[in-house]
Amino acid sequence: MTRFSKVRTVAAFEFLSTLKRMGYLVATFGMPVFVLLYGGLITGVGFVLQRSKNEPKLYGVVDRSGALALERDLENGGGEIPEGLRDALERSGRADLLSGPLAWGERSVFRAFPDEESARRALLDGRLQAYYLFPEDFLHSGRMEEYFGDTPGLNGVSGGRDTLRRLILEGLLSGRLDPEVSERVREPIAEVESWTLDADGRRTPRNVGTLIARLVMPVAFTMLLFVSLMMSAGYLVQGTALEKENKVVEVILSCVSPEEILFGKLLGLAGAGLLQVAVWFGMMIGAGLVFAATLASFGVELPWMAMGVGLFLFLGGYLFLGSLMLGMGSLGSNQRESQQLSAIWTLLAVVPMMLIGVFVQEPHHPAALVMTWIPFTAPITVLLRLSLDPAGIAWWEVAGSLVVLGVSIRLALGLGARLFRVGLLLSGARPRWREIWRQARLG
Amino acid sequence: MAPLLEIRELAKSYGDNPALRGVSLSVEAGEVFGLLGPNGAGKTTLIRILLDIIRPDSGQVILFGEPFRRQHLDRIAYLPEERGLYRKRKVLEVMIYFGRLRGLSRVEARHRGLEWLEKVGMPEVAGWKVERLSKGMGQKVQIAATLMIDPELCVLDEPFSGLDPVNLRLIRKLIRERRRAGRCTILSTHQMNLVEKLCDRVGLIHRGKLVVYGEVNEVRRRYSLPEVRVALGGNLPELDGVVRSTAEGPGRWRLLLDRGASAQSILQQLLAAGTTVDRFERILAPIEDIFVQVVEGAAA
Repeated sequence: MTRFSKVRTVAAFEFLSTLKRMGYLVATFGMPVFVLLYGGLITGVGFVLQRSKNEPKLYGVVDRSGALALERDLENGGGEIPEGLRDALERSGRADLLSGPLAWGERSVFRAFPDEESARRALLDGRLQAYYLFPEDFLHSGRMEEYFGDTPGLNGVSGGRDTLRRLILEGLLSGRLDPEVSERVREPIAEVESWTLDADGRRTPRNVGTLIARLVMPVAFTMLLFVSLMMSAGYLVQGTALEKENKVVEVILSCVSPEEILFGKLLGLAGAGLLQVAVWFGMMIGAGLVFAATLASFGVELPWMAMGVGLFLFLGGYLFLGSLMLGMGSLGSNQRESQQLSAIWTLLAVVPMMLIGVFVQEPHHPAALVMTWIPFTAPITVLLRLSLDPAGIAWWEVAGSLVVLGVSIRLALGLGARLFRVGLLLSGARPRWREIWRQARLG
Repeated sequence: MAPLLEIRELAKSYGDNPALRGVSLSVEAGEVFGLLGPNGAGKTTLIRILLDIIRPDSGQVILFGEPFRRQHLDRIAYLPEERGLYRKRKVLEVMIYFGRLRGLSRVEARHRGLEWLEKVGMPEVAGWKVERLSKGMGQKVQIAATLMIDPELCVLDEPFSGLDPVNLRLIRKLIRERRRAGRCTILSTHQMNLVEKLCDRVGLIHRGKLVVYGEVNEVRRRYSLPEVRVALGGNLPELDGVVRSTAEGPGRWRLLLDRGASAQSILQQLLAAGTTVDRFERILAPIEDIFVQVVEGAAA
């Protein structure tokens, strides 16, 4: 008979002990801050680079072939913003971002020089990034010479060659072809309308950018739960190994049964794990709210169903894996050995994460259907299926996997507690597995 | 009245090695029971079984007059030989946790924790982290944490190891206080002089078997030679039933008696001879000698 007052006491102690761990505090509060700082740094660097890109770079053109027909300075407009992002920004009322900081690509100005000597002087004076020399036979040979200053770094290596290519195209097409044909030569496919047909034949706009954006939240949610699951289970094994090393365990075992200790520890650390996920997810939602309009325009939806069921899946997966990890980990003679022994179960749980690429392509892949019913893989698999395509998973699959998980937890708790009882008191060389099993069977 | 603890035919083995082979004994309320034995004799296994830390292969534990139940554990406390505390937690926090695990409320555990730290002379360490304590201080904290629930049965495994004479005296005093309060203590120690001073009864386990068991003086008598020590006002007269007399100093002799003779008859002969008897005592074997005799005898 399990005494819940003892379980509660152990759980509260473990919960508070975990909360006071430096590693936990750093992971819980530090990691999101680190991610934000890192994101901020990347954005900042990107912004500075973008600003520098907005300073137009001057290139010289010496056209002896006359193919370019360059009569005045030609400046490219900073390139084009990808269509998906342009649509999203316009729909969310942030069209202002299209100009300025988000202007895509490098701005360059091409200036015609009457002869090579003047272009060379300008380059040596540092006024030009480079100059391009088109010989008389350019149309025939397609050969061009480019000259750079002797400056360190790769500045101007790519130069404005892409823009230059368009410039040449414009020069060659100018007045030679029908305007429509010219336009198609310049841009064979100007606009694509992409649609998705559902089972009823209804079409909805298909946009790869939007599809990718929609994957972000479910995958992020699953990853967060998985990381927290593994961290909590890790703390569990580490804490118990430490108790064994500290010789506290025998005192505790003299007043609380192994089942009560095991259950209390599992609950205490599950609480800490859930708190961690709540903090992380709270921060994610907080950040999401700031960019809510943009995210909504991408069609990004929070996987509410997965989040609701995810709570049970997290707890179930954690209790199941934690019981086995703790039972096996208690057989180790020190923290390292305990972690090595318990890692056997971690390897099984990690399988769905290894197949995440497959599941993102096909959430209800036959492998996913099978793994839904295996207690080791069910939590992450069901969570992924629910997040990526809630409509594709039947209610009875979710309910069934939870039932399987529940029964497995009961068995794992029993087995874990028996191994725990034997393992906690082991010291020195570990006996043979047959002897461990014999002792465990005594209860 | 039923004994506080009764152990019936306990057997336990690890692999091919038997740790306990049919041990039966009982411990009464209000006594200090010495559980003795050489290293690896099976004492710790016996203690762990009675606390349900491990399960026996066969046999039964009767506690407080009924078969073992988990609830009994709230009335028992245990100080294991290999002991420790949570090094990163504060002393009082750990004491409160241990008190809570044994059924005290948080308030009561806190109150008793502070009271017992005072009792062992270390009130100032309540807020210290355990890692700051010296070995001896940690030992006293552990004893305080064990006794603070005022258990009806307390098992102390080597409670004196690492203690200086002052603290050793303090722990002896605490054990005696428990006896006066009618609380039972099972004391496992290798310090035989303390067994003689503190214990009412002893049980000696060797190679998994209970080889000596009984009241301390009765056990000492059982394992002693029939010897008496006398201090007389004059010379030692001729005495029937004395096999050998050895002078130990002026007017003092050690007398080895014949198998059939009693100390009583020797005293009567001395008085009848008109000798002044200043001192007359039965020489009892020290527990340490009995321990060595039994263990070495078994080995031989």
